[in-house]
Parts: sequence; C-alpha cells; structure tokens
Amino acid sequence: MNLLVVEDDADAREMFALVLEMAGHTVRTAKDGAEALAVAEAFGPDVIFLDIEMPKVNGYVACQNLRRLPGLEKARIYAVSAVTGAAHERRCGESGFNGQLSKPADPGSFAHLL
Amino acid sequence: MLHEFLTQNRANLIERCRLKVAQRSAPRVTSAELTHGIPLFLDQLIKTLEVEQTSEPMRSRKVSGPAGGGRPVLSEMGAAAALHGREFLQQGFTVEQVVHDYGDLCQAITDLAFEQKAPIEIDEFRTLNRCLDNGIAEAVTEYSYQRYSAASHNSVQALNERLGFLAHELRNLIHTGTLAFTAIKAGKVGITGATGAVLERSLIGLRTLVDRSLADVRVAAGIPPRHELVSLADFIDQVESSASLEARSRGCVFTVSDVEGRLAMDVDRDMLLSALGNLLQNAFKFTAHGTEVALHAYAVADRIVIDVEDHCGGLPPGSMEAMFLPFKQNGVDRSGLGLGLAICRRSVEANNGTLRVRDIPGSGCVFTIDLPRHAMP
Repeated sequence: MNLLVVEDDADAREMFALVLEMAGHTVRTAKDGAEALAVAEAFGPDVIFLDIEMPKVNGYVACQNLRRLPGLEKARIYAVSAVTGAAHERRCGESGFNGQLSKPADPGSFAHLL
Repeated sequence: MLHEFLTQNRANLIERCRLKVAQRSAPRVTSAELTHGIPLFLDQLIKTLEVEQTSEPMRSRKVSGPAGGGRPVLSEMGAAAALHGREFLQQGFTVEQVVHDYGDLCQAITDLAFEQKAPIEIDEFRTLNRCLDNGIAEAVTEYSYQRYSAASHNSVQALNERLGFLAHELRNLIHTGTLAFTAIKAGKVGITGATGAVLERSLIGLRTLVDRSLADVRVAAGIPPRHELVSLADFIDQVESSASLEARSRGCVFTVSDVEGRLAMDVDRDMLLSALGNLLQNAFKFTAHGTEVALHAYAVADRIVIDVEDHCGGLPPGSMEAMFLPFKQNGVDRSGLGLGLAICRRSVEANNGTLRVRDIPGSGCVFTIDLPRHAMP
C-alpha cells in the first residue's frame, strides 16, 4: 500500500515510516500540512497518518485540505496524536478523519488498520 | 426610639454612607455595593429593633442572629451579609472595605443622632452593635471562604493543566521510543545506528522530563533544598557529560570553558543540575542548527556566575520577562511543557540565587545563574 506519514517531529516521523516500510508498504513523509498536500497530490496515498499538533496548519485543517484534493476522496486518513478526549474525537469526525490512533500507538494497531 | 429615628432618616443615612465610600481609594465602589449592602442591612436593623419592642423580643434573633458569635445561626441578616461579602469579592474589593462598609453606617448613625440630639438607649445601642458584629462576621467569613475556594480552584486548574502537558509530552516520547524499539526488535536495523540513536534520544527526553517534573514538585511543595558544598568544577563536569549527548543529537556544538578548581557553591545539587540542564536543553533546542552553545562558569567578586549562551538569533521583543512565566513558549520548536524557565527560576531562587537573561540582538541570548560564592576547603 502507499502510505503517507505527516508528522512535525523528525524522530517520530522517521521511525513511523521505518516501521511501516518494514511491514512491506511504500511510505512517503511530510513534516507539515502544507508539505503533505504536495506529497499527497503527487504520491496518491491509500492511507494517510496525520499528526494533529503541527506548526502553522494543524492536523484538523490539514485533513480538510487533503480531502479536497482530487483522487483522495477514498483515501483513509487517520489522526495520530497525543491529544485525547471527546472534543478531539468530535473535531476528528468533523474534519473528515476515518479514525484516530492515540500516542503512544501500539505498532500492532497499524497492521490491524491496514 | 432608634428604629423610628432610623426609619425617618433612612435616606439621609444611606446618602452619608454613599459619601463616605465615595471617598475611599481604589477600587471604586459601585452602585451595587450601596444597594445590596447598607440599605438592606439598615432595613434589617430597623426590623430587629421593632421586634425587640414587642412582647417577644427574642424573635429578633431570627432577623439578626444572637450575640457573641460561636455556632453559626441562620438569620436574615446573616444571609444578606454573606451575599454582600461574596459580591464584594466578585467585584474586586478588599476585606478591609467589607468591614469599613459596616463601620461607615455605625458612624453615620451616631453622627446624625448627635446632630439631631436623638437619644439612643443602651439596649438599642447594644442591639446596633450585635447587628454590626453579626453582619461583619458573616460578610467577612463568606468573603474569606469564597476567596479560598477561588484560590483552590485556580490551583487545581493549574495542576490539571500541568499534568495534561506532562502526559502529552510523555505520550510523544514513548510513541517515538516504541517505534524505534519495534524497528530494532525486528532485526533489520542495529542498536548502534540511527534508530538506536532515536531510541536513546527518546529515553533521554523521558529522563529529562521526569527530572524536571520532580524538581518542579519539590520547589512547588516548598521542600527545602538539601544544601551541600559542591565543587563548581565537578558540577560543570557532570553537566557536560550528560548534556553532550543531547547536544550531538540536536546537531549543535557544545563548548565548556575551564573552571577554577577551588570555586564552590552551597546548593542543592539535584535541584541546580535540573535548572542548568533545563537551560542547556532550551539552548540546544533554540540555537540555529550547527551553531555553538557555550557554557561558562566563573567567579565575579563574591558571586559564582554560570552562563549559557546560544545562537538563537535573539529574543522576540517584549519576551524577556514573559518567558519566565509558566506555559510560555517563544520558539518554533514547542516541544516540552513550557514550564522549564518558570521551574528553573524557582529552583535557582530556592538556592539563594537569581536567574536572568540577556538578549544579544541578531545573535542569541545568554541565560545567567548567579549564586553566592564559596571555596572548597
């Protein structure tokens, strides 16, 4: 599968990508919402893992922007964040996420989702 | 009769009180203070005095409560005074103003009675005093209770916010560490490579976070520092060895100048290690990539000075004092609790020192810990 990891923390981004690649997926990364749009447009990911707390454009807004891209209507987008709670879940729903993973995420949960 | 005198002069007395409170210093009294406080109290005082002229004078206690305080008793005057005290707090008045509000009325009554040569019987004066005592006691008690409740609420809110930030940071670090461990465990990457370094950074981050939080708890709880004579050179050595790894992981150059061997500090070593570690972590975080973070420790007259200098480009205008406030973060990299400098300053002050920052516009900034100078024996 083609996977896109969007995460502003370099260590977290690289490790997430590494683990997904080890599972046999093709992975691209982006460090913020703006870069995610460019990468997604060119790469056409099947699944996007999107951090929420990022500088400039947060994950909620980034998800809405990604949803507007032609060809990404059917992509699954998951929020991956240390943010938890009912308000976060509501905002994820409103922003067009398919689901959420809470940090620290169990690596087994990625395989389950994919 | 006093109640007749009060009834006839009600408007005059309220106006005299209004003039007195208008002369007070800030905060200014509002019309609400005058409406809910003195007029209502005056009506209840009149009612009390009237009831005391009947065949059942003890019924007046239901209006204004018994004399002497002690066990709280519900009375109309007590309930109104409690409301008055609460309103005073909400409007930002001091407890002193609560008391003076009642004192103003007492003075207005006695002044007017003197001017009009209106006699006040001893029993009536005793009732007036009882009502004033009970009104003041209830108002001040409620004022204090509400103030304590508000302070407790704010304190709990701040604590919850801190715990929320702490949990958030722990989650991020554990998340990255878990991913790195998963990759290493799969056997395709080595522990000594880049993935191992990520795991190491995550663990260092966790350790630092826990150290900082414990230091914060100790300072916040007022646990006195465990003072001991600490060699400045040994202390800086210890800081250097633990900070070097983080400096490398952040891609910056960390330099430490030589320290004179006899210099010493009388400090809580752990608390100061945490404070200086915090300053260095900030410096590594904010200095431009590949630039130098310098640590200098030396003596000036009777002081020990520890400088942490970075090349962050200089501080944003107006940020020098605000940056020591809790949850204040100035940089682009907002990892961390935003509590660091607030904790840091409190830790340094608990060790009889000061923490200050100097901006070098266009270059960076220098954080300085200043402590009393001692010498090794």
